[in-house]
Amino acid sequence: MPHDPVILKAQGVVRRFGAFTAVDVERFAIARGAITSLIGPNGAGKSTFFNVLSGFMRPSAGSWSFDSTEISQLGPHRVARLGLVRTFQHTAVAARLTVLENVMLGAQDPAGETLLSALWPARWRPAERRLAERACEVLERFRLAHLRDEPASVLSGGQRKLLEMARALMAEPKLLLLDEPMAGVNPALRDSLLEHIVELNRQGTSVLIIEHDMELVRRISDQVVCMAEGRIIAEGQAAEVAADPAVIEAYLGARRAGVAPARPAPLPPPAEGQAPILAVQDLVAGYLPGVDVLRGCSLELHAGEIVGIFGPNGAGKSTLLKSVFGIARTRAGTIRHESQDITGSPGHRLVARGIGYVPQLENVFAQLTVLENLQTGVFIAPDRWSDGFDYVRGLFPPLQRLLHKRAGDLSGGERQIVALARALMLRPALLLLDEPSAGLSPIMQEQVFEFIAAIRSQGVAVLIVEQNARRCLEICDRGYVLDQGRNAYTGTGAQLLNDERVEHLYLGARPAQDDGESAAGAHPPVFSPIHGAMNVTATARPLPH
Amino acid sequence: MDFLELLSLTARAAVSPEAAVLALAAVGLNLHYGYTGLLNFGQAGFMMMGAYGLAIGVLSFDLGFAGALAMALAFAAVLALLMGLPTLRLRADYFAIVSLAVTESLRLLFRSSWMEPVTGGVQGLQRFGDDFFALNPIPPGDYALGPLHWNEAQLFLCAVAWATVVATILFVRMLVASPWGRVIRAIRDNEPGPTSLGKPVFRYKMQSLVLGGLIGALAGVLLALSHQDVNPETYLPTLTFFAYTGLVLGGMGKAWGPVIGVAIFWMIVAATDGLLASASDTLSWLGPQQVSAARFVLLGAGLMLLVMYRPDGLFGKREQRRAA
Repeated sequence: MPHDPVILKAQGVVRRFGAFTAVDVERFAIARGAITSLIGPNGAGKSTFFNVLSGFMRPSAGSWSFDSTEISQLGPHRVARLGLVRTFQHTAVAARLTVLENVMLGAQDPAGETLLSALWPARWRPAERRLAERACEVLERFRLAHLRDEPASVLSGGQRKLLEMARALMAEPKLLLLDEPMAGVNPALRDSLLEHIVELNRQGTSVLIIEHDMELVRRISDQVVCMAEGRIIAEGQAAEVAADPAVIEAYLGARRAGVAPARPAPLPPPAEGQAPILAVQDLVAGYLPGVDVLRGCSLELHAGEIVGIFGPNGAGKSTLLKSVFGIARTRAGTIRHESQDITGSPGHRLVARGIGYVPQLENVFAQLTVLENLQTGVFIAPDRWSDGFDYVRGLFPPLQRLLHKRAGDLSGGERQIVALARALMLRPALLLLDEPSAGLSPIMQEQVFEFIAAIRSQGVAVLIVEQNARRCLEICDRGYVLDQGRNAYTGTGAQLLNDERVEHLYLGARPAQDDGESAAGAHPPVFSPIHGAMNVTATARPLPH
Repeated sequence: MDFLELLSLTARAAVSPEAAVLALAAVGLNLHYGYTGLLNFGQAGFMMMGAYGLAIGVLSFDLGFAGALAMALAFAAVLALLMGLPTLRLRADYFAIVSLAVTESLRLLFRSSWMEPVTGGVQGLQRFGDDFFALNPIPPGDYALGPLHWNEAQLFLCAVAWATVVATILFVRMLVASPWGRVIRAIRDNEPGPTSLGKPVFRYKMQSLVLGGLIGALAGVLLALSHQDVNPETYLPTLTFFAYTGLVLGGMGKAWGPVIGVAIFWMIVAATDGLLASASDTLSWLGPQQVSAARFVLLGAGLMLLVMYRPDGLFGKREQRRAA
């Protein structure tokens, strides 16, 4: 029987959240027997698209078929029964079941799984023993056999990813959807996971994989699809897609031809012996036991500077900000604010010390008016209300007309302004910003970057994490590029803006080997001491770890 | 009150039919919450269905004990469907609220004068147990074991109640260890997981709700037989929470947890009751009314300490929940 060469075909798939369109895919197809990678910057709608295709989320519009069966109306378990099995970015292992039981759960319709058949143990016990043997073989392959009788809660984040894949394998899927299978997996396990994916594919399973590690995507994909802002913007071979200007723009922000970026006025060098306003040393932090997101990361920020943190998804950028603000738990290393150790201090103490923080998501109180939002900004010192209010009204003229609106009714850009203003109400000397331009229209992004430049002109030091690296680097004094939780490159904004290795890090090609011209010896280190070498025009060089 | 007296008091409490009833209700809750993750706040409702089903079956329909028992179970199954069909597809907290609300509404309906011809209204129903006690093979007389003593009817009821508890626990234990049980335990831990593997999660949750509800109905039947009276005031939400207390004490998700927990709970209630009552003889400010309130204050404080320091029950491992 001839097989349709396309295993999954989708048309006009749209998913909206209120006024926001998360996914708007006109046409999408996956070739049978291939490994297809779905890439795109944060917030591109990849996981939402995944959830819709696998039936876990209802679409606003659209239809799609799997293996020539229309499945857009089916619930998630029916989709899975047809052979379209998925894994989760945040693993969905059953923590109190043993590792072995988790794998056995993957089997399709084993004896005794319906209530009536379960009532007669004699009928399912023999089949259950055979199933356990099969599950053990799978565990053996995934190097989890020694943990078979432990509850899955003892597994590390990476082992959970392995377990989830082993479990999905037991279901003998025709198409396996893997949502960031490598995220949080330590490098030692990565290769073995990768082997499993390739081996599975060789045995005939089609694979769709969301993955941020572009190097890995290049190695395994037959086909790469790139999404941005809910749409598919490029398709093809990995190398083609990575070289596509639209893809590069989606990852790094637009390169504005002909516009001379308004450079921030250079700062006077800091006084001799003056401590940096923020100094992070060898920071190690993470969320899951045994998985470090930050693996020894250092940076310095001086009064009045804007410093950007860049790097591919999962590099640890947001975690770095959260560790500084005491939200993510610091496992090793020190954080100093004006030479005082603040490692692990809770956020409210840091606010009192003059540090402001604007989180990426849900950064306004939606039920409160803008005025009330601003009032929460002086919660710990209500007597500073009028001072702070005048200050933020001067910085953000649009606030005036928003004061009595409910924050939940504002556009994304307006919310960002309210969040910035609230964080500045106590006139902090240091502001931490997590992806302030994410999800905003290009015009609003522009406005936000201009506001951030204006904040700096008031003498506030800004530490900013930003997806739109190019635009952000234009306003940055300096930047740090992270890769897998460690410092990779650093330099002034202008240097990083023109450094091809930054692009390569985002899109996965190995940077060209340093040839004679840019050999390490040819140029002095980019900045050491930090301000002394700001005018050096060499390309940034990697920091020694 | 001397020590021996206290000891016999607590021993009587631990093996009383009430303890068996509460243990059985807790076994049903264990299936719901301990194994499936369904936070059922309406176990008293299932018990009420069992009690009224039995009484109405005997009194209004003249069904005899076996027929009335079947009716009790059918009542409970209907309640489970009523609670589960609209809510089990929703987030877990919706089910919790609805289970409490449906139960309370039903209780108020049953005690209303409109329902009085069938349910007896606030008077409740009596004299429905003859068929059951007619099955008693134990010859009349007084029976004693240490501090425990029964007449033939009490002994019969006690034996039936505890036999039901043991049989139900063995049944539940077999079931949760089966492939079916593996799925419901996986649902408890992480619902998207089994869904992504093709398990019809809604159906499993519904089955678990019905089964645990039937166990609750059996508890209600035994309670009605023990009191020889069915009254709406018995099935207040506090009854559900007593069963939960026993479940938490014994450890959720363990087959024998509910019975051990309920026995301990009932013994503590009896002991504090006895101790406080004797204390009130000497302390003028502690009157008999304060005593019954004071024991629940103490119990509540004890339960809080338990949840804080032994979240997996008195015999649980403390470190289990702290990881991750």
